[in-house]
Amino acid sequence: MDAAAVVIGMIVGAGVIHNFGLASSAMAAATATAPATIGGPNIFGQIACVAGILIMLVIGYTYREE
Amino acid sequence: MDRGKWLILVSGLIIGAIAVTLVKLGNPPNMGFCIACFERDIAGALGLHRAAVAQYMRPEIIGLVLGSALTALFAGEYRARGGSATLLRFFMGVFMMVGALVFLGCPLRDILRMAGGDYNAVVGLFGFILGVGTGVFFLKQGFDLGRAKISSSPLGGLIMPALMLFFLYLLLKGTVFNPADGGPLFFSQKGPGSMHAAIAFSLGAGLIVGFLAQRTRLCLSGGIRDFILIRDNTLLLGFIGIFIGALVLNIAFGLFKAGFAGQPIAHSNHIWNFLGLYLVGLTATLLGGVPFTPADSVRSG
Repeated sequence: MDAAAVVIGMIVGAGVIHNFGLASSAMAAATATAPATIGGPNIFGQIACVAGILIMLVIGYTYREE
Repeated sequence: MDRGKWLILVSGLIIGAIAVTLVKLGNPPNMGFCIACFERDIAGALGLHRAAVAQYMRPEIIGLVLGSALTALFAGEYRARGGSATLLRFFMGVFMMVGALVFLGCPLRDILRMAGGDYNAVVGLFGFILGVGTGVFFLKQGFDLGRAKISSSPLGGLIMPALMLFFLYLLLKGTVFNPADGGPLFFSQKGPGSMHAAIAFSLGAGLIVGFLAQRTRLCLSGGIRDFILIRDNTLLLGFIGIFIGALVLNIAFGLFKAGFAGQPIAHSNHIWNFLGLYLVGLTATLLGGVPFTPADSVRSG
């Protein structure tokens, strides 16, 4: 059931991530109106990703036994 | 190699082949089977987000949960366990998805992308390995989220399979609860969410993969973790199997295209390819594994 909590977290997280525009955009070839892009996350996605890493490091550090 | 190792290698080959076959049958390119992408599409189908290109009730996930749950039931391994930092795990799931959607795929899709010739995915793999390595560092320090307890009732473990059955019913029946808004369920008209194999194929594929994953305990972060911790390559062989199975079929179907540029649903921003899967690898290792089979809930708490 703890794994199910992770899955529900992932599904709800996906909702939040897309609503907040945190997901990366895909690379796109040049079109008549726009040049080619390599894609990637915007600044908010980058912040969320780094925040996630920092949070995991804190969790990893604090949840040690003894 | 002993029998168990052959079994997991063959399971990997089958899963890789199934994934590419699903692309051939209509799934998005290099996304025959992607846990994160498909859970994201399900979130879209339920109306939890507004990304119009990422909405579909993916039968692969439904099949994966039901397949692994049924397998655990018939194998007598069904146990409803829980209570180990559950809320924390929920938010770790949220951030695992952040990492996956910054990279544009889960570790499984990372392998499938590499098997399709996407070099950007190799950058992600390095991030993933380092993320698992960081997680192992904490494990060695005594990291523990606490013990799960076996529940007095089996009901809790049946929630996910029951939810998936309900989703399947909605998908097949085509119920629309809120016609004014056009859903739920919402379905993409264009983009990756609109690309999918026929329901029967997707569902069948999910059931088979769920069965194989439950029997072999296939786990992508677990493979790297075990190799770092105890030099055990058993789970890694699943990785290798998936890669080879997908690579061979990609070449056979003419889907293989090597390079950094022109890759489908991918980006070449390498810092973030790396850090995205670093976050996934670290989170997954702290959680004790990627919930590759969401019905892990059924067997292992």
